[in-house]
Amino acid sequence: MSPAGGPVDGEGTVTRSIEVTPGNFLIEMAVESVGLLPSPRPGQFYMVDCFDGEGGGREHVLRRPLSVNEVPSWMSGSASVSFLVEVTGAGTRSLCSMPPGSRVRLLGPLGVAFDISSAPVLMVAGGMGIAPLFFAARVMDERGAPYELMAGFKTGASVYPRLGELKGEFQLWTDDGSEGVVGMVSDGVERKLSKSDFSSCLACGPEAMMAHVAALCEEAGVPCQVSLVSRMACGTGACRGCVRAARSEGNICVCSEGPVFDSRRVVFHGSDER
Amino acid sequence: MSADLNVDLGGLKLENPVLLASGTAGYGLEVERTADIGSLGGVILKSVTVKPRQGNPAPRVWETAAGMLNSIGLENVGLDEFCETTLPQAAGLGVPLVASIAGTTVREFASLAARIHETGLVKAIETNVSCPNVEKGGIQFGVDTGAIQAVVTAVRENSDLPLFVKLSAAVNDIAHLALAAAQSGATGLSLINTVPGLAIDALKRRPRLGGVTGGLSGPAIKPIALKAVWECHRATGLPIIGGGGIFDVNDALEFIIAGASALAMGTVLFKDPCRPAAVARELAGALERIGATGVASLVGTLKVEGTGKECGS
Repeated sequence: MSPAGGPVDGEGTVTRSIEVTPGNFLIEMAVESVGLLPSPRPGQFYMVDCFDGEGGGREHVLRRPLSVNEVPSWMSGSASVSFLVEVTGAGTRSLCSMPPGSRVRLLGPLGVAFDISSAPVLMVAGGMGIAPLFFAARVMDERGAPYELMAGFKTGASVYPRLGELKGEFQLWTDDGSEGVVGMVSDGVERKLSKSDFSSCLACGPEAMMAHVAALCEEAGVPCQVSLVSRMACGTGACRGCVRAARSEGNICVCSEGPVFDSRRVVFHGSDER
Repeated sequence: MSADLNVDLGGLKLENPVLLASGTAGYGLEVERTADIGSLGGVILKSVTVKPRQGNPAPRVWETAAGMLNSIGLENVGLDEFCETTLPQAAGLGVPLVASIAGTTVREFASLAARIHETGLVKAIETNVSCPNVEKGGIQFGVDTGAIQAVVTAVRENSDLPLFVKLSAAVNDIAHLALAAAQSGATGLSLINTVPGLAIDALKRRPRLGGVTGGLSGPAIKPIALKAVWECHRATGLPIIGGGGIFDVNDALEFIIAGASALAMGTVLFKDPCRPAAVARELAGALERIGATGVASLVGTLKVEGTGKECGS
C-alpha cells in the first residue's frame, strides 16, 4: 500500500484478452486498491508480472513494462486498464496466453506522461507505438481537444482495429500500401507540419521513425515528445537498468524521468533493442 | 515469546536481519513506498565511487533462467553529491544505512571511507571489491588476498565503523580471501556479489548486454551463495551478510543456517517489491516453526555428518 499519489504494487485480474491483430493482444485488467491511486495518464506504464506465481516466481525474475492503452473505467470497485501487447518473447507470450480470470501483479502507474495540455497536437505512431498514442487521442477526444493522428503499420492486417473509435482525424500508412498511404509514416510528417500550426508533436514507434520525426519537428520549431522503450528491472529509478545516454547531460533514466521525453534530450539509436 | 530478530554484526545492530542489497534499491528513496522500507532491518546503498560514473551502455539488464544479468557499471552520483545530498535524504528513511564503496585504487577506498565516516549518517561500510562490471578496481581487487588486505587496512585507518568486505564467489577459494579480510581487520563479510555471465542473441550473434558481460543474480545463484556463506563462516567465524537469490522466508532460514547473521535481498525486489518486507514479517514465525529461539542462535548451525569429504568441492 502506498500513500495517494505514488505507484501501487497491486493485483489485477485479466478480464479480456483479444488478439486484435496477428501476434498483438489487447489485454484488459481489473485493478484493485484504486481508491488510493490517481488515474493513469497517457504515456504512463505499469510493471507487469507476466508469469503466474508458481515456485514463488523464481523462474522469471523481471516484470515487463507495459504502456497503458486505455483506462476503460476508473472508479473505486470498478477500475480497469488495458494494454496493447506484442508477443516478442517469453514474458509477453505468457501474458498473452493468460485466460480471463488470471491474476497478475502490477506496479503502477509509473513514469512521466505526455503533456497534452495544449492543442492542436500532431501524433505520430509507428507499429506498437500506437499503444500510448491511442490513449492520448482518447483523452483528447473526451476533452474535445483537436489533434491529428498519423499511424503507420507494416501491412493492412496489422492496423490497430480500434482507430475507427477515435473522434479526431487520423491518417493511415502501411509499408506495403495494403491500406492507407504507402510508405513510412514519418514521410508524411514534414508536409503535415508545414500545413498546420501544431502546438506539439507526440511520437512513439521505432527508433528510426522517432529520430526522423524529432528532426523534422526541431526544424519546424514544434516541440516534440517521444516515448521510449527500454529493458527495465525496477521501474522506479532505483536500479539504473533502463538508462541510456542523453544528448547533452549524462544519462536519462527511461522509467523514472521518462518514458516520455522532450526529443531534444534524446540520442536516438540506430536500431531497436529487442 | 516470539523469536528474537535482533542481530548484532560486530557493532552493526539491526532490529531484524533483512537488508536490501546494494544496487537494487538505489539510495532507498526510489523504493521507499513500494518496498515498505520502514519495516526492514536496513538498506545497503548503491555503491559510490569518488567521481560520478555514467555506467555502461544499454541494454543493461537481461532476464535469464531463474535470474538476470545486469551490466549497470556502477553508475552513481559520486562521493560529493552522495555525502552532501543523497545520504542526508536517505537518512530520512529512518532505518540503518550501510554505504557501499567502490574504489579503483586503495587510496580511493581510503578517501571514500573517510568522507562517508565524517557524515555520521551510516552505520557500516561495505567495500565492493567484487563488481564484475567495471574494468579496474572491481573484481580484480576481490580475487587477490594482498589487494583485499590493502583495501581493508586503508579503510580501517580512516573509519572505525563496522566494515564488511563484499566478495565474489567466482574465485578458486573464497574462504582463503575471507581469511585475508579477517586478518586485516574486517568486521565481517558480505556474500556474494553477482556471478560474471554472458547472454547471447543467436540471431544477431551479439551479446544481450551493452556491456557484453554482466553479473548474474537471482535464484540461479542461490546454491553458489549458500556454499560461499557456509565456507566463509566455517573459516572465519566473522558475521556475514548473506544473499543471492533470497525469494522467501525459507531461503532466509537457509542462509542463516549456512552462517549468515543478516540477509541481503535484491533481485526479488524487481519480481515483487513487497517480498523483503514479507520476509521480515514472516521470519519470527518461521524461526519458531523450526525450533529456533532467534536469528542469532540459528546462525551457522548446518549439521554436516562426518568431517572427511572425499569428493566434490
